[in-house]
Amino acid sequence: MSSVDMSVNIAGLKLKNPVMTASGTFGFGEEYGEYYDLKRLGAVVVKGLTLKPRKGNPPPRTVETPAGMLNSVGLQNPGVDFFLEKELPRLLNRGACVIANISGASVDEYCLMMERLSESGVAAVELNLSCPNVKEGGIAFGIKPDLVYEVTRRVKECSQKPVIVKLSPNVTDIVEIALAAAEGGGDAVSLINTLLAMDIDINTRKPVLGNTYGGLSGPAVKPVALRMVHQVAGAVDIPVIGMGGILDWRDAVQFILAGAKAVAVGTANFVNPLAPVEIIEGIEGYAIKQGFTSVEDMVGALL
Amino acid sequence: MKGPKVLQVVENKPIAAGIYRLELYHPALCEGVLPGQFFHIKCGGDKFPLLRRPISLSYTKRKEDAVVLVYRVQGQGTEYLSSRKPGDPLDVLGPLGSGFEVNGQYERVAIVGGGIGIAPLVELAGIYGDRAAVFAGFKDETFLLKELQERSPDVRVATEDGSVGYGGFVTDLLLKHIKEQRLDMVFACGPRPMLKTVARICRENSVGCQVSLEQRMACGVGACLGCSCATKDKDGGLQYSRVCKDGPVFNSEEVCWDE
Repeated sequence: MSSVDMSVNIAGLKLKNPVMTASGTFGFGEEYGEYYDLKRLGAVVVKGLTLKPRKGNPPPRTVETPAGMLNSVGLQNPGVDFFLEKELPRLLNRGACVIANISGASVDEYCLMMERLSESGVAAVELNLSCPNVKEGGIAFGIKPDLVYEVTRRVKECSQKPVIVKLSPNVTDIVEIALAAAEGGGDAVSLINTLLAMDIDINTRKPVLGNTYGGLSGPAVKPVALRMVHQVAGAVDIPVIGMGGILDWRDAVQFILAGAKAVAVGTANFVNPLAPVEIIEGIEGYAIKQGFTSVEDMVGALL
Repeated sequence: MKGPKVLQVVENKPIAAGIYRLELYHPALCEGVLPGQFFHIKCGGDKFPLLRRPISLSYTKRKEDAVVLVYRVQGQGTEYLSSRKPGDPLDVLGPLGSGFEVNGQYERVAIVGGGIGIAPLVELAGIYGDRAAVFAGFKDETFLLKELQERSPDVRVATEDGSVGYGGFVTDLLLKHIKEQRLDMVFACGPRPMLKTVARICRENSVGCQVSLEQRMACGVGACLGCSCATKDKDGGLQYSRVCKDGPVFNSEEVCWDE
């Protein structure tokens, strides 16, 4: 029996531990469910959903870069209805706590998806306001505070579920965006999404990615992510979910100390399929060693 | 618990310029692995390079409980791999992906490989044995020919510089063969232009064809959708399939060759 209370409360949603998966790195849980019991995770944040199915961007979609990688998947997904009909029941059968992640081309689209998800078994919904790999949609919601406020407020109006607003690091002042999400009624913020980036093949003189630009993730972004989590946690009253380059439990502990109530593991899944469960164990071990009786006591415990 | 395994390097030696043969000891892997499947190998000491590198099975050595992988040194990851010595541990995930079809009903098949694409076909050549004609194409320097000849009596070689065997493309040999010999299936792996030609030859001669594709990969298990390739959906439209999970072996008619 553990002496550490690993559970955390995110806007009324009680997670058994603070470790979730980062959207887009974990599919709908099917693949990694072969490696361990998905019930062990605080939550599974599924692949980003759109109203209609999306084919995604042309390959190549990934490339390794120093201490990280780029991806330009472009929200390939089967659409929210397919998710509700096929993928969600499978995940719930496995006993997972499921958080949906949605991207809309308009405020109305976010609301339409939210209404459908509200009646489902998902525990919460994360709003992706800033996918770096999708051109259409007209507006990049995530980079303008007034739009972040507006979409959050409208989505909250049609939502019975906690709403997590995922923030883009590709902004001048992330605190301003986080405050707008909180003012709009967001129940939590999660950060950071990937950093807009590119790579070039000097032999072909072409961009490496089929989409030219992609999102940088992995250890390379961790110091930026930590700084942003620290800044945002100091500025908003709602819970912060931290992510960006977490490879092991030490990284996860850093985010918790910086003020994150929960953390998400993304790129690390690709390196080690067991990373999330090893991170849960590592956080517990750290808490015991440092004399914390609960993870919640560790949140923001930076001296 | 299923997950990455730490395997011991038995041997890791160059067999041609920039081409290495890596033997790993693991009894259980040897039993379950199919020709065409791959292993996802951590190619860095501590953290970097970050991502695993997918390397296909070349062949198994069941008596020695070993799997043999043959790879080309191409970047930082494979550079690291080539520096591993006998006895060194390697962090290996797999076998992953779909394999080539192993079908006892096929009486005559052709196996066509180009360059490093020959490597994933060696186990398959052993399975089809004297039912297979094996076509191996190289730019100049040849490799793995002995391994192929031990498994199949009919191995035909093409080199682009004409130094060994037929001077020209391996697909020329396939075209000639397919006109003379009724085939039940063609299996191919190699550079994309070669595969595209093989697919066309098979289509024009009404022979089924399975190709093993390559793509930059991240997760290797089907979760990240990073290693996509354009294929035809059930209505003939374009969709992106996962090379790691839906493949790496695809029916050549499913692949959108011009994408």
